[in-house]
Amino acid sequence: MNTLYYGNGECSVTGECRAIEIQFRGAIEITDKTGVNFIINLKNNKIIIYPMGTGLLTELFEYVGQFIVTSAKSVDNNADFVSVFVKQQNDFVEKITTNLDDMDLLTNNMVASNINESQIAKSVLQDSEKPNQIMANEYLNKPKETEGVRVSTPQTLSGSSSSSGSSGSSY
Amino acid sequence: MIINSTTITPAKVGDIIHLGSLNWSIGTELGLIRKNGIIIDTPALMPSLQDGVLSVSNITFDLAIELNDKRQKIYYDTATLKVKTYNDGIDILLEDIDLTLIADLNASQQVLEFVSYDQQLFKIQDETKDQEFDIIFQVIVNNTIAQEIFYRFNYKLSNNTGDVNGDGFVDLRDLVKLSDHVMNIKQASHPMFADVNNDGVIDELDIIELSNRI
Repeated sequence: MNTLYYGNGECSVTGECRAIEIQFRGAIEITDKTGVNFIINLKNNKIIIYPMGTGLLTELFEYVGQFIVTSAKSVDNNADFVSVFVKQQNDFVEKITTNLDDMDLLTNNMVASNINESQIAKSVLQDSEKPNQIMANEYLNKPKETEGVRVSTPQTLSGSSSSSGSSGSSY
Repeated sequence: MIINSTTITPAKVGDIIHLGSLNWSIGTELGLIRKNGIIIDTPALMPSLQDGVLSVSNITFDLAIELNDKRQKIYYDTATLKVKTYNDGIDILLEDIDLTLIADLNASQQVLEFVSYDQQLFKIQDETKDQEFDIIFQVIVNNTIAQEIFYRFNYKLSNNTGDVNGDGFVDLRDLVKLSDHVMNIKQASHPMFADVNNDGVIDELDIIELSNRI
C-alpha cells in the first residue's frame, strides 16, 4: 500500500509509487518537487504524475491554496494498481486522535484550515525548468488544428433600394 | 442428450490473470445469448490475444447423456469436440478433442467431459482492422452433430488507442506501460495501441497525449 500525505502546503507519497492520479477539491498553485524523470499534468481538478524514465515518486509538489484530496490511485513498478491511503497532515487540534501531549506544534503556529497561505482562483502549475515538463507543457498548450476561434467576415447585406424609399435606411 | 455447460478460461498473460472464467450454462446468462451461444466483446477478448492468437488455459464442455425411462439401450462409441468457423480472416488452431464413450446403462445420466488445457484457440490474420466472427463448438457423437454452441467475438481495434497493456481499459497503468515502452525500459504487450497522438511515431509525445486523455 502507498500512502499519500498532504497538508501545510506539501504533498508526498511513500511506498512503491511509479505514477499517481489525485482528484481534489479546491484550487491550488503547484510547484513541482518530483525528480527529472517525472511529469505533472494538472487538469480539471485532477493531478496526474507519471514517469518519463526510471525511479519512484517520493516528494510530489508544494502548493498554495485550498487542497482537499477526494480520491487517489497509484501504480507500482509493474504498472499494477496499488491502493493508496490518503493521510491529511494538518494541525487541526480537534483531529488529534491520541493524547494532546503528542502534538509537537506550537499552538501559535497552527493554521486550522485546508487553505495554505492564500486562496487561489484557478489551479495552475508553476513553470518548471525540467526538460520533460517543458516539452509536455509546450505540447499540451500548442493549439490543435481543431481548436481556435473561427473569424468570418460579416456578410455584406446588399440589395436594391426601394424606389418608394419608404423602407430601409438611406445613407 | 444435452450440453450441460461450457467453460472457457482465458489464458494467464505474464503474471496477471486478466479475466475470470467465461461460463455459459443452461439457465445462466452471461453476456448476450445468441441462439445457444454467447457474444464475447473485445474487452474480454483482448487481454489474452498475443500476436493475434487467443490462448485459453482451460476449455471444458460437459456433455450429459440421459437414458430414457425404458432403459433403451443406446450405444455410443465416439464423441468429438470440434471447433470451426465460417468466417474469413481467422484460423482455427484448436485440434479436435476425441473421447471414447462407454455408456453406463444403469445410470440415468452420464456426464462426459471434454477438457483441454493450455490450447491456442484461434488466430486473427489481420489485427489492424475491426471485425466480427463466430467460433462454433460442435460436439459430434457417432458421426452426428449432437450439439453446437456459437461464440461471437467482436474485435474492435479503433477503441483501444492507448490500451498498451491490452486489458480493455485506458488508465494510469497504460501510462506507465507506455512510458516504459517508449523509454526502452519494458516492452508493452500491445504496442499497436501506442501511437496515441496518431502521428505515425511512438515517442514521448504519445505519453504526454495519453496523460491528457486519462
